Amino acid sequence: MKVWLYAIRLNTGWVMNISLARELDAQYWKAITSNTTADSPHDRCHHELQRRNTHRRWLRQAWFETKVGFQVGMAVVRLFEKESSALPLDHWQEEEWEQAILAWIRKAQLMLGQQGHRSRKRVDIDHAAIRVSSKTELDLLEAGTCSDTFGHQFKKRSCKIAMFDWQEGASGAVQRENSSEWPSSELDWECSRLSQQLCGRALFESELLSMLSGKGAAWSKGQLHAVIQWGLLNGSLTVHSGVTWPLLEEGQGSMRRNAGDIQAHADSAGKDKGQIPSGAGRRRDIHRQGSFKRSFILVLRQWGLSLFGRASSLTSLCRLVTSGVLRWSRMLWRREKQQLPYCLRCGALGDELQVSACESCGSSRCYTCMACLQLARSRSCALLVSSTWGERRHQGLNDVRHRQVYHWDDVNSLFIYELDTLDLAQHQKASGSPAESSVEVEALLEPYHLAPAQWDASRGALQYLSSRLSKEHSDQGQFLLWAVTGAGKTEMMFPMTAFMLANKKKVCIATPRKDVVLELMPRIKKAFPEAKVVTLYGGSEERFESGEITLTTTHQLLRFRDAFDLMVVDELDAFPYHNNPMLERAAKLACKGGGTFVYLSATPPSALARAARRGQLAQATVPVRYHRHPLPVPKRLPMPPVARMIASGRLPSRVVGALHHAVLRGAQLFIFVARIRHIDGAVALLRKSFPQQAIAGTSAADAKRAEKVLAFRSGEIRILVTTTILERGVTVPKSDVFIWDADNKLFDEASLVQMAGRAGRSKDDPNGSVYFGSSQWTRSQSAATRQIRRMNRLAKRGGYLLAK
Amino acid sequence: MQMQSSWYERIAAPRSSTCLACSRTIPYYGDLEELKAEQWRRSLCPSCVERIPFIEEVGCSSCGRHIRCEDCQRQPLQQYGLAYNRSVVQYQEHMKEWLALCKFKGNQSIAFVMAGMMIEQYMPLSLTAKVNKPTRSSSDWWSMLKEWWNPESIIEYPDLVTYVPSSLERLEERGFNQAELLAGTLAKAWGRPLLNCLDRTRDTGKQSQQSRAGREQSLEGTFTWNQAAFQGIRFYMARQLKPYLHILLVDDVYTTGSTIRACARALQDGLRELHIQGMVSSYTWARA
Ligand SMILES: [Zn+2]
Ligand SMILES: [Zn+2]
Ligand SMILES: [Zn+2]
Ligand SMILES: [Zn+2]
Repeated sequence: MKVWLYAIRLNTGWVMNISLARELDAQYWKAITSNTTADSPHDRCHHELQRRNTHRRWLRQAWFETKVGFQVGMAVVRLFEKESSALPLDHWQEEEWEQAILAWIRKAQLMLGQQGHRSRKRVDIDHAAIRVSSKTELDLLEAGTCSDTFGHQFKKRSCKIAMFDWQEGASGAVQRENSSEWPSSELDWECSRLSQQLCGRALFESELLSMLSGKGAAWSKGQLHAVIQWGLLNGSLTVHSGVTWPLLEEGQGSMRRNAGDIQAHADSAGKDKGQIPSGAGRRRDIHRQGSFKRSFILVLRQWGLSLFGRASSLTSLCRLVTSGVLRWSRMLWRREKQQLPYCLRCGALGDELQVSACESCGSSRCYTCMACLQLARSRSCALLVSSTWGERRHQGLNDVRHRQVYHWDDVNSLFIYELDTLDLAQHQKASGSPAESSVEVEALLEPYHLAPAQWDASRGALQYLSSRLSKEHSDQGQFLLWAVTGAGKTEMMFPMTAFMLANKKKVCIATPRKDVVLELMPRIKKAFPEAKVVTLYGGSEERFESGEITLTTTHQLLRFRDAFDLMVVDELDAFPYHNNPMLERAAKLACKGGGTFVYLSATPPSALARAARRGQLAQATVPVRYHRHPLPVPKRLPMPPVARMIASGRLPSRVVGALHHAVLRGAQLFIFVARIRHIDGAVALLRKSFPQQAIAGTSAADAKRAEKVLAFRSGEIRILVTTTILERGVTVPKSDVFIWDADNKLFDEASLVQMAGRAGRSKDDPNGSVYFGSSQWTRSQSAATRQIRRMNRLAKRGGYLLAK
Repeated sequence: MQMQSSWYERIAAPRSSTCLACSRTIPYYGDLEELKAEQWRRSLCPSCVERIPFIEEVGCSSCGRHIRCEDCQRQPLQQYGLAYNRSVVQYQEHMKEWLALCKFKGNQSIAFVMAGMMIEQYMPLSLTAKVNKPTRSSSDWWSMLKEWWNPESIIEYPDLVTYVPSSLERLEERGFNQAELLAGTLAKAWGRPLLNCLDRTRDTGKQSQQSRAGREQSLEGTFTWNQAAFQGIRFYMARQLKPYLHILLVDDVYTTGSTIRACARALQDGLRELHIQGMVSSYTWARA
């Protein structure tokens, strides 16, 4: 979209603003300067004006009479902030303004990579000697159409700049027929309502409109723009480009600037420089100032720490050296990427952005994000509106957050460790006086009938949460709840949620799949009848609702911004999360700056597990299932590859023996194979050996998967051949697990542990058996077995196991 | 949540792309911009390509529908100054989804694929239109032989490519006009000028919600010919040796044909005004 640009002389100095609806700006500044608004919420600014400058109350304005693309407008505002302080703006006349603004626009276009690029299409037109007016901004400028929105009150010396002084009492200064169309008080009200509804969200125009119409307010686009503009002026809303540039996002939140705020901004900026409290601030510094030395030292320190911790042999020393070098080079490479555009909504950059000529903003290089296209179209010139409702008290915090947006994910694997150590230290310090908090914690744990292991882990989590709450944090806390398969993770969510609700905090439970959301919803609603529970998934009705508890699929998190204090991420190693940086970024953005993540997983990703093991990450482990029996340890079953068995048409007798044993004891069988194409063959083989058993095979490609899973759950199907698609979620009471081709590289440690976790889930049959069938014993098999043994050992040591 | 895959995984992982229509993983094809128009199939998965309902047999020689249609018998397109229309695919449900992806979701890559299909099918489709063949004396055995040997060789690409304009308001909202994208790709592939010959004077609202008669009515006078563009055409004609001009009007979908007919009429008005001999044919991606 395109916006107006104008500069205004406030008592404190000149300010450049963008405007979506210029009548509104006129109305706003008029309201500010005149006396009639004493009752309205922006009397703060009014008093400010009065206090500081009672003798001179006029506002000089310079309007640029051509609309520019939104992103260009934002860039000009940034440039103005940087460069204007040295300029004698008060003495400028139209000509100077025009030259300066044109120069800024050119510079902005240069910075955004728009100059000199004409799409090839247009070149082709030239060759045919037929010119079509190309609609780039500068061409429009040269065409110089003058619009005359403000009437004839001021003398125009330049075609492109309208300047006028605005004096109190001089009622003739701006007389517009439609100024009474939307009274200021009403605008204020609408604005604060919108700001409230938008709290914790970041939405595009189209989403805003559908949100509003869902709430019974069918606004037109013009009305929406009017309200947004009013919100920008009084500081209750902020806008950003959907696809933005680091240089547009740095600096203080310039969009919410008004007469009163300027001083506050200056003050807070000064304070900010003095003490940057958080790791986030430190991180930003490193990125911004390009201080190679500092980053190098940091890397060295980090790497040196791990060196002393681990370098036991020469090979590991070499590995550490290389990884250190690689990390460093990766960081340098990252910094180079800093000037590239990125999607503010999902953080995508590079290949995921599509460049095209755009008629909305008139730019020849307008970026569209392909990664989050399914939610809404994020473009360079799209307004991403968010509110400052909840955060106006914590402005400094908020600004830090916005800058963190795009580079948290990669390099920080370095820094996050450090942050966590910090956290941990604070955590330990805070829990040094557990006397009164523990009482409270025990009371919270009481109603949920937790098993001892669950109880202890939940207490750990609650203590961590209370230590986080007891102090203001500017970074996000992380807590890993490592609970083995079948430990009862859902029950452990309840005390945490209850704790946060008791402290009037917002909770989000993010799960990978829609069916989990639907399964969880009634249980959560039952556990917290007094709280408002919102469930979000693709196609859900409550898309724009907000409540104390939000149950959501991970994709829906993209619509949130700084919304939650506690973010429970379920099964973070599972499908949509794992290796999907977009969703990780979405989760980080949706959580408040000082919020806390609790990760629930039976098989946490190795980096997280390592950090937890080294004590760099706060964590609690639930090493035993809710029925307090040890996990079945996988047994090794040597067997030929599945492909060869299918080709030869027979199962080895040893395999048949093991299967026979399982069938005899009346268990249902999971048989996992690595490849979809092996399923039919495996089913045929099994049918030959076990003609009386109901045997079926299913995979991701199977349309009847849901029915077959149901039949298996109900016990109609006794043997189910499947792939990793069913490695989690499906649980039957009495089951044995066979993993064929366990040496296949598709089965990593995590999926082996998950598959092994299908056995022995019920109280009545806690000792199901698990077989890793393979011709060779691979590293992931031994790692999985080791992990399971370790959990059993921990359980025994903690005394969680039932006495024999 | 540091779940970043380690560096060696990133290097070792085979690069892959996703199907533009269904997001399934397909072999890596690189940058779409680099792809030639004929290679559009590479950006789709095999099953999506399979399911494209191409119009292989033109049922109505006037409007290019895959079956015979009565409308054209009652009111031939020639009445409106449109020589004929041709379309590439039948406008079925999943083709509607494609168009929605492009139009409403704003995925402009889909337009590239659509244009690729149009370029590929242009020759066989325009062969079915008799008017395309230049009039010649029957004794010209050489061209007859040429035609018999390779029927496509006597078909010429249109001289000018233009498109159905969209209203300013809609253009501002979407940021692009899909018909313009299609026409631009076609023009680039054929080395022909792309010219915005028409102006849309007002927006007609949601067309799909109007009755047939209402549509015709509301389109009355919506499109006007662009003065500057037609001056350009005259200039262009002066440098050409050809006595007549073939303008190709491009749009995304031909539903009832009312939009295209209105555009053709406006184009003919312009040609008549400037005394240019010319033919207007239309080419759309889909035909309902
Ligand atoms: Zn995005
Ligand atoms: Zn744009
Ligand atoms: Zn596909
Ligand atoms: Zn027809």
